[in-house]
Amino acid sequence: MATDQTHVIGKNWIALDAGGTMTDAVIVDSEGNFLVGKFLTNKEDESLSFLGSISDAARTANRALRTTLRESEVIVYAGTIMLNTLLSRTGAKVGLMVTQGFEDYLLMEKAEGGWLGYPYADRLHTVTHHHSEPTIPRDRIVGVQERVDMFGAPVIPLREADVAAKARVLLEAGVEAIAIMFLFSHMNPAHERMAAEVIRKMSAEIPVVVSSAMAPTHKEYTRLASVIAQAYAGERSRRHFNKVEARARSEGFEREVSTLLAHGGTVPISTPRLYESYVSGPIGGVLGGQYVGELQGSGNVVCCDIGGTSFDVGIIRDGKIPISREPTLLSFRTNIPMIHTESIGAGMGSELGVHPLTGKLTVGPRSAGSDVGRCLRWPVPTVTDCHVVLGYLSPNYFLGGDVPLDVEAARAALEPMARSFNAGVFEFAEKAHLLVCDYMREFLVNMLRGRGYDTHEYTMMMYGGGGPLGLHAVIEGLELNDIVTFPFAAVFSAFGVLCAPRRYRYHQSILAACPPSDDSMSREVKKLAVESINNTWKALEERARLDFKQHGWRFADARLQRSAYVRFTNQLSDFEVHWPSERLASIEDLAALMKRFEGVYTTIYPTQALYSEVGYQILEVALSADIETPKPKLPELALSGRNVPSSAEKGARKVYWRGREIEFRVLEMDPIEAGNVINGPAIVEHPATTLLIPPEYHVEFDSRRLIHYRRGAR
Amino acid sequence: MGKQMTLKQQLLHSEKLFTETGTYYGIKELALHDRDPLKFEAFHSRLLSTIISVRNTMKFIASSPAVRDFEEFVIGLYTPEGDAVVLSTGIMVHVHTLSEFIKFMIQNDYEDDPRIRPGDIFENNEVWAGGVHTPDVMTCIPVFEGDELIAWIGSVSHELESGTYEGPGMSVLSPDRFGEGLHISAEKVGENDHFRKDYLLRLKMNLRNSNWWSLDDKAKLSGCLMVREALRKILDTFGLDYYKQGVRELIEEGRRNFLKRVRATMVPGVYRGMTMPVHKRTHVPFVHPMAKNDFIDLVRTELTVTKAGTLELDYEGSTGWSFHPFNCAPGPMNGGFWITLTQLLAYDGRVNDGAYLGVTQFLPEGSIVNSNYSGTATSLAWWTLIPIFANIWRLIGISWFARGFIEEIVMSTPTCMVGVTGFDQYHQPTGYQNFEMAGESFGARGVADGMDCGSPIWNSEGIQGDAEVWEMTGPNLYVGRAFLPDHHAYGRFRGGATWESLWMVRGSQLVNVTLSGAGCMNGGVFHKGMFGGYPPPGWKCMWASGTNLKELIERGDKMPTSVNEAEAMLKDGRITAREWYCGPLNQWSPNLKEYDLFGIIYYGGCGYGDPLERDRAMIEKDLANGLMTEAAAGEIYGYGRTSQDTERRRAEIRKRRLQESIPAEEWWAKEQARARTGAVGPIVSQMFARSAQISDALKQAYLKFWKIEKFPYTESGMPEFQTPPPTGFYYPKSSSRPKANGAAAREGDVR
Repeated sequence: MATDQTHVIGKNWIALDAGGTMTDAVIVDSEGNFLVGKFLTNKEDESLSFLGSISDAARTANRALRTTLRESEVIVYAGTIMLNTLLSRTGAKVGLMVTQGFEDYLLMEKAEGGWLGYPYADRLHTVTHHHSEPTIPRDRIVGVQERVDMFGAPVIPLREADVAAKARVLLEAGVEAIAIMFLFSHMNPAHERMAAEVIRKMSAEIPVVVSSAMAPTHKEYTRLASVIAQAYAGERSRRHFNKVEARARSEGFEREVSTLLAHGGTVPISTPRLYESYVSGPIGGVLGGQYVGELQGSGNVVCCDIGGTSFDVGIIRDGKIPISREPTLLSFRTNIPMIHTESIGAGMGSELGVHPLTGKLTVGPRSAGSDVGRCLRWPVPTVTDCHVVLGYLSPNYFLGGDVPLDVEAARAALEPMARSFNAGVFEFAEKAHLLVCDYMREFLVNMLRGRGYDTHEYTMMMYGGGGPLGLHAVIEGLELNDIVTFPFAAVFSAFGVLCAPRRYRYHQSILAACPPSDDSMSREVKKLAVESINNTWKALEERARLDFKQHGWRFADARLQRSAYVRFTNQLSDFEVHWPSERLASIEDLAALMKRFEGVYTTIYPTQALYSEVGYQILEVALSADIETPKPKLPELALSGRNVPSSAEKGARKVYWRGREIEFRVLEMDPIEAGNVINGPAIVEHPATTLLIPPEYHVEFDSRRLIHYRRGAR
Repeated sequence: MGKQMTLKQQLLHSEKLFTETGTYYGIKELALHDRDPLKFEAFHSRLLSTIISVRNTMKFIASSPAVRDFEEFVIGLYTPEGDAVVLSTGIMVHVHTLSEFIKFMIQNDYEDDPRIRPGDIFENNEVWAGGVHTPDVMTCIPVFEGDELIAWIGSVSHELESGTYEGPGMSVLSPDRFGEGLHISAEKVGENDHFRKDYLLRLKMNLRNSNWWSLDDKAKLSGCLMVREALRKILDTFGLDYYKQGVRELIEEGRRNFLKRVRATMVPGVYRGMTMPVHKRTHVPFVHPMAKNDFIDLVRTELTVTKAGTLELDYEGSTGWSFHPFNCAPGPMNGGFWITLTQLLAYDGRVNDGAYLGVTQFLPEGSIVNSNYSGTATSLAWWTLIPIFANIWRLIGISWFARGFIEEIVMSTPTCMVGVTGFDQYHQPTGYQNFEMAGESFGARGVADGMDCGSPIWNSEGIQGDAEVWEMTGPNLYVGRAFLPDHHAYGRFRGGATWESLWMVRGSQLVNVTLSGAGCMNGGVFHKGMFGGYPPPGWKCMWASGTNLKELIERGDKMPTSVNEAEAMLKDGRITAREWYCGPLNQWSPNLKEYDLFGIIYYGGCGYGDPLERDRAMIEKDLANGLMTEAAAGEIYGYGRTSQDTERRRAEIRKRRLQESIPAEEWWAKEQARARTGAVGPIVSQMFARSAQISDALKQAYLKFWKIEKFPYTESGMPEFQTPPPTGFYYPKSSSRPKANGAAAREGDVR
């Protein structure tokens, strides 16, 4: 792998982003310079791909692995350990204790488990729906008699003898951990705590995980999914993480390995709630987008990742990353706070097909992955086959030339499809590429529009292996503030992981209201709301203090961000509203918080959607506690002038473009220097990605070597 | 078509073109599609992704769990004449009901009065204007380009409360429309993109909790405005002319694709079925005198698959409408067919009104499927629609079987529901249906069991919801929510398992509940099962007032967690109650208060194939999951602990079956005697007589089958009176199949 920046390794920070196919590594030194590496993910033993990827990066600067690791301060390993534990059903033998009468919940999956995550067509097509095999078999699920109501009042008391009798059943079944989830425990955790206490007395060594201590928020199915994720996969994943850490230490690393949590903070792998490291989307890229946005002074960034299988989008607004509170974990929704990204199953490796009945072109959802397409060893033509036929990709420079591609096989596979659309193979290949990029554009535009945002307020950051190649078509017709891609686009997500702060995030359900009127009774209700919100923030700060203490972090150094989730009375969804001060000082502050809510709300919805006259409810508050960490610097370099160095020139090749073949200049990415300008038509090649610059466009490498994509020639 | 035409002229022109040419808008060639199929695809994808993404955004404004969590919410784009072009996911029932609403306004000259102008908002839940029932509320806005109306955008949500007499959004016992709540009869309710104040005040005064309806209205309006905004950008990209021609081509393409799919997967011919939901109400103490009767609504269904790939549905022979809220009309019948279309035949996201043009429904006037009484109630039309379309799913399944598409076969489930009315834990009046019924288990498939906790026939995106959400909605506290062992429809592939909920009243001293099933629980079987699969076992609900549960709790005694357990405890005296009921009849409970109980079972769909062919591993999985007891597995499936035991038991059962069987001729001869005298129970006899009152189709079939001369059923049990159909306005109409083009003339009639 070639280097992207000058490299002076001092005390390093290393980030790894393990995906389903590749594990990417980025090593940053204390000057902020970085090296990148890649290695095929080893799902059986991730510690091997972990070391392989770091080795690959180190090798680019002729550094030995051991030296690199010895000189490293922090390693953040983000990826698929949690997910793999769940998918491969290799979690712990867990027993589950629930409120009596709810023992069948894992078989029921709230019904929606049968179709959650399905595409539009299959959501309608009922016959395809099915439940997953539960992680905990029915005979290891017990119910105890108890109930707490929605206000947190105990209605049916919990009896110690009942807990003991049911726990005995689980212990005798040889469980390795017990998870507990009772209804409304987020409003009053007393029963869950008492049950845990009873079990601990019976068996001190069995870990007991209670839902109210994980993420005490509303909706029992989400708490259940989270508590099971922790009990089933959390501790088992810790073993895998420990193995990674042991491997790192055996090679000279002297500190604790950290991981990335779904909300975008990094913590050492000794964190008590490791289940939060379950990540369903490419969140590293969004963190990287936020950081680069800060460097550039753009608070509004749309982060786009074009991979082989999917197109993923994250939106940063005013420098803040939105958090999703009910992401799906396999067939369940959980309450793990997670950086919000959305995806469609269209990527550069997506299969192309013709619908047998409608004759329409179909794209995905299957993808060739590392088998690329007919041009390599996938039986069905893919979007990449179009790129090879069109001349966008050099068949001799895929992955730096390690993998030769077969242009003729691609052409032969596409020709019959082209005929069914009354088109020549070039015309068809181009239109198929454009159609896939159309889908991506529509998806991201709708995501922005759905939040009430306009594209022209946004800087687009485009990355992922396919990003620089799809960029020209995805942005067609869009007015954007700026369009940026990267020489290291293929490993941008790993780079982003390094931009994450040390962070814990906490959510807690409450019951508070802000009535619309100002009579004495309403003022009392508002005072209670202020008190409840303040008390809950304080309690969350206490939780943070304890977690910080465990890692030896100074709580005094933490940057605390407090927020409340507000809705109109009777509304079912709420919206996060940040509060800039430590506490609400008065009911006037509460009113100001409501005004802020309406500000957030009307950014998304037309003013017709306001309903202030019925007042507001606050049913959840949150706290984020961050410690800033060194970030990769992307140093500013001296500008070298417009012309690229001759070492970058690779000649020219014919590309099919808008109905005819034209000559594109071909360049190598790495030698291109800050300040260089490249007018289209041109193709800039890198072993892991290809940047296509159409006629009438140019790109400019700025002082940080960020690539700005612009209309016109310069 | 030019601006010079009024909307009404445009609509009539479009209908004329279809009648004359058989294609939508007379389109012969899909010119835009053929010129550049991939551009056409991009156009469609742009429209569709806009609609879907707006729906996903706007549902967060809503206040009904039905809208946000239960997907009871749809948005669509329509042509100026009201034909659906693209639709989001959600309640597919409403694809064509919105069409009928728009056509109603056009046909009734709304262009002149109350006028259709930019910024206007129209709303409807009126069955005479294409609606299904009062809780399904449609909001619709016109889109103009200059002076020309170029599109409509419409959205529908299901409201939990609609001001009915009983309280919940759907009335079970109302005899006519005057008890089924607030009607918004295709009205202009807003101008300049804002709802009018008089309309909002009307909601406040006519609903128990108007916030739900109002916020859902805001969600729908916001969605419509967002789509309108997005449409402008689409027009900028493609141009107005492309748009206008493109949407029509999309509909014609939808029609052609529908026919292709039918031709590719079904066998032409006539498929017949019958449904007989039983409704009993005489036992309910508080019911309108006109509604105090027991009866069976018979629906005779004949599905014709033509060689061309069109479908015809003929209901000749069905009984008449009556004083109950289960009546249907073209709106509900179209809605029912759309859920079938989108789940079985056109689920690829490309469905639009083109598919509707491939289907004809013949709805005899005055029958249960097409009530023509001006005061008719349709509040629970679903109690008729579910049986009808469950049957049609079965008929389609038979056709697929014949063609070899066994993996497509799926059967439905009866719906049961709980309504709650009174005063809630927030000291406010309330009334709502608990929509956890949207997670009912569905019927067996041709290659697998039905899904346990799956989806009802009326919403493919089944969802049960969190108990904690329902506890915040109303004054109820769950004491159990679980499967009921052995209570599924048996078969080689079994129906999805029955599950149940049991609640204790919490936070209210004054609340009552309605408990009801889709006409199925009182003995009428319409989920028949297929190829030897069984129908689901019986239904049950319960309530108990003035209980001793408080003492039970204080003593630390075991609380009931299921309907059966509560019943057993009531019977043996562990639970005492002033009054209680547990059984299979529709219920309207007396007032309940803190610590009183109510519960319901939601049973699963029917089975597929002979239970004796069920795989042992599947039985053992059910045993492990507690869905079956070993005793029942032995009795029903012939299950034994070893495969030899199983074989032996199965052989015994087969032998017993033979011993209990008689030759068909023998059976026929015995039954013929009964058929001749009409020796059946009174409500069965009345059902036949009611059918014969309005059509001789069933009567003739009866005489022919039993080879008898005289139809023995004459007493309908219904009062005799005249009811004029509504006059003075246009409304969607349908009628019997024209006699001239009778059965013999049908294409593909290859019995």
